[in-house]
Amino acid sequence: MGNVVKERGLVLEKTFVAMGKQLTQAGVGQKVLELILIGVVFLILVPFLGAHRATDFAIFCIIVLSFDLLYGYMGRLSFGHLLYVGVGAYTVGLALRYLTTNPLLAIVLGVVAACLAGMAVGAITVRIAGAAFALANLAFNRVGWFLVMSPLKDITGGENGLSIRNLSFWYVNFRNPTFRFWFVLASLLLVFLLLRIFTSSSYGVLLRSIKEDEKRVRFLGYNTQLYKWVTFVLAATVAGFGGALTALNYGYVNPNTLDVHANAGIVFACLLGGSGRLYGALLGGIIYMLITNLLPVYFQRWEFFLGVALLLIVFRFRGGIWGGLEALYSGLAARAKSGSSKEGMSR
Amino acid sequence: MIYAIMYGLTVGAVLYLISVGFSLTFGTMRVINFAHTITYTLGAYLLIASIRSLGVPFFWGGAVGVAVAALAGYGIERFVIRRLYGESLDYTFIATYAVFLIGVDIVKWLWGVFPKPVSDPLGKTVDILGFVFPTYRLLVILLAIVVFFGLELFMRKTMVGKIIVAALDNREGVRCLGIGVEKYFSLAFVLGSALAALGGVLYAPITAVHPYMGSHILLLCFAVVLTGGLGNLRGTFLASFALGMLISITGRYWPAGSEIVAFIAMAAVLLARPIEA
Amino acid sequence: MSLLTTSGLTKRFGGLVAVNSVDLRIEENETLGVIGPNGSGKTTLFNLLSGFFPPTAGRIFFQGRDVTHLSPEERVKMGMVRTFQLVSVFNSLKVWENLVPCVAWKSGMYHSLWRFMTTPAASTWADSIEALKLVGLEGQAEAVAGELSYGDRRLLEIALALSLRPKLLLLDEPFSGLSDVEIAKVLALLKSLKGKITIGIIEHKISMIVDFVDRLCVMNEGHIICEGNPSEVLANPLVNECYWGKQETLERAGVSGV
Ligand SMILES: Nc1ncnc2c1ncn2[C@@H]1O[C@H](COP(=O)(O)OP(=O)(O)O)[C@@H](O)[C@H]1O
Ligand SMILES: [Mg+2]
Repeated sequence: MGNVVKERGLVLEKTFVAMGKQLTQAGVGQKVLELILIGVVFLILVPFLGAHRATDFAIFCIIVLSFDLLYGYMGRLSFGHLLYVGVGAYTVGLALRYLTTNPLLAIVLGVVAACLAGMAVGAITVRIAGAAFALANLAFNRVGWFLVMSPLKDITGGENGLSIRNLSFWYVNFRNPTFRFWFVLASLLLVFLLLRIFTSSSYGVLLRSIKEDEKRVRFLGYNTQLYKWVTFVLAATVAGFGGALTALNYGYVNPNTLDVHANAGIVFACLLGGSGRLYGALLGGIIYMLITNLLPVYFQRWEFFLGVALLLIVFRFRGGIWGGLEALYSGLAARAKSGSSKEGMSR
Repeated sequence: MIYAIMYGLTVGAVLYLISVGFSLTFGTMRVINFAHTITYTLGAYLLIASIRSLGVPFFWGGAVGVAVAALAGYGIERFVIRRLYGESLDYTFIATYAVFLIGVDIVKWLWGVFPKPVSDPLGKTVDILGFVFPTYRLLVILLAIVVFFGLELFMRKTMVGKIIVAALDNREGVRCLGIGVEKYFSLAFVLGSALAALGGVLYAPITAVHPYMGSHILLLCFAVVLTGGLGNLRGTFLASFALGMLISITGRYWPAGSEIVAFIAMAAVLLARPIEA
Repeated sequence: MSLLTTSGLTKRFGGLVAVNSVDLRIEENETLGVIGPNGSGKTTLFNLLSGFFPPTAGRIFFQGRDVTHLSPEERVKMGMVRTFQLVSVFNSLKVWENLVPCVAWKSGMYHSLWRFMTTPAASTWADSIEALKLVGLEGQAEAVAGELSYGDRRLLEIALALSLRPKLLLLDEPFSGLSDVEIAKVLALLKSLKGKITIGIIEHKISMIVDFVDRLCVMNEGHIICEGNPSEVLANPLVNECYWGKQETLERAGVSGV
């Protein structure tokens, strides 16, 4: 018994040492630079959009990032990702109403709830191959929506949603837009950093292997179900974090946060930016939000527009914007190379 | 209780008509055709349109609905699904979802977002052992059974049917035979679309017709197909009625839960028998 | 004790019996060749051994343990590693990245999910390169695997398999689709491994492996029709018959008679 505890302690200690090492390793400079860059981009957005909208953008980016881990890196398309956003948001709303007055604690609870929901749903859906995975997740999302709308109506407020009262606590004041912006930006950077570490690790390579050929990965000795599940739970957790922030940003939760059809927006944002690349997800999230916020198309014929855009991406621009930029860059690099070699030959 | 059973059978019949097409494409190609929902919706709307603006009787309106939806199904197969043949199934899913979005928006544009009621075309009832049933519902159930036996015959007697059955049994095997399977799949696809539209037409007088009616029913179809077994057409038939019953009987005692039970059934099936390929 | 034994191993596909009650035995550190005409069930046999699908009947024992119902990954962890008839590597990854999951596994990272998830893939670079050196691909480590020649991808696949530290390495037609130069490369590599690990190798051209293997198994229509050391097996008329057909066997006999 004591041994086990000791062992656990040792594992914990090792984990912290590893974490510390991770943060002090080479490449840290680059990561810091990347984080600063992202922060600057959002700061530039603020004067144009206002702090509240910029916060909205950042939250959406968090959700798209979490989706990208699942779809872009592991190649598992889910059309039910908003379920976890909804779970996070509603947990925060309910926690602040019935349990606590501390928004930070509520966020933690929201994230934990999304994580648990992801564990349960993931245990079932992760074993499903192909496009059926997308639909099975959509079905669970629908169940969640239904639960909120009907059986749990009395506590969730059904269609009317749930307004949050306790938004400020101690120094933490979610009533203040500036505070919200900085808090969410910090959260986005944290999520980005974590995902950056995860995706560039051996585990990240494993995910990309699973995306290409899961069966083959099993013949390398990996229990792919486990890794798929872990990734699913991770994505759900991060999405839940995004949901919790959404609730605090609006001070209000409504059933639209887990609207089944809104999943197409996330998929679109991810594909638009370029799936399988964290920067693509960020870019896609921002551009998608710009489209929905600035184009009047949002109010009419929006679905038509979205449908056509999705078809275009699937048929013509698989790599999305980031993929296009990469192709452009490598094309230019190749041309520069061949240009210089030609020069060399003529000389 | 008898009425609940009756209602369950009606729901089952409609579910069957819609699920068959879904099951055919899912079972043979593992393609999940989200646009299936739009052919179903289209069928119902075209029925209403032809009744209201052309003034034709219900059955001709239904025929128009089915025919046009079948055509739309052909278009979807030819221009979306076939172009993505052999690529990641995710792209097909996204593309058909896009078609669904476009279709829903067109429906909204043409006919508005509000639910439209359709009256019972027969308006008669029959009296069986003291219970009064609408004749129309009996007709729907009968039609589903006729379609089931018709399909059984089709699958057993015709070349196309045999190839589809073989493909349901062993996809790779049929592909290896080198027959132009795509041609046959396309036929199966159009057939499925027509049946979905038929389902939409028949269900219209029982439920409300609205632009998103399809996306909800698709999930139920998915549940049906999973419960019945992938590529198992008889299983689809039985599962449709079983789920229809489940929905209607639960709805009687716990109205809010009638939708959820279908998904619980689906989750249970998935837990017991995941889809591995 | 034999490293691997099977008893009554059978696999049916509908009406077809692809592998029919096979009793196979592979000794420690021997090199076993499995030959037979196309469609005789060789690949299916390896699929059964590696856990690609479960057998219809029969059992498989590895190091005395019943592994019939173990998953592929559990068999790999026990040391049964295979390659595929059609080269199967991760075409979208770089060459060295292909090896990352294998070497990460080896370095014990597997035991701590957190470490596995946070240690940069680049930290396995040295191990990956070392594995690539075995097959002489270290020069192309940064290339994308899908852009390699077929032969090089075959070598890469063998590197993947070797980096998993196999006790039993099952190779499914490692020479198919390769040029003569590439065949020589692969053969040289395999010869260097001979005697160090146990190798099972499928080939349908006998000549290719006849002086390389210790023992030959001949399959036909799902059965093992004959086994023994190569010269014995080749002398067996039954083998020639199933391999070249009656007519050709007679012709060959005629030719050699002249
Ligand atoms: N997954 C499968 N489904 C159906 N039949 C199969 C399958 N795999 C192999 N077969 C059949 O089993 C027989 C043996 O195939 P295989 O083991 O690949 O032969 P070999 O490798 O000796 O050329 C062949 O007739 C083949 O068509
Ligand atoms: Mg073979």
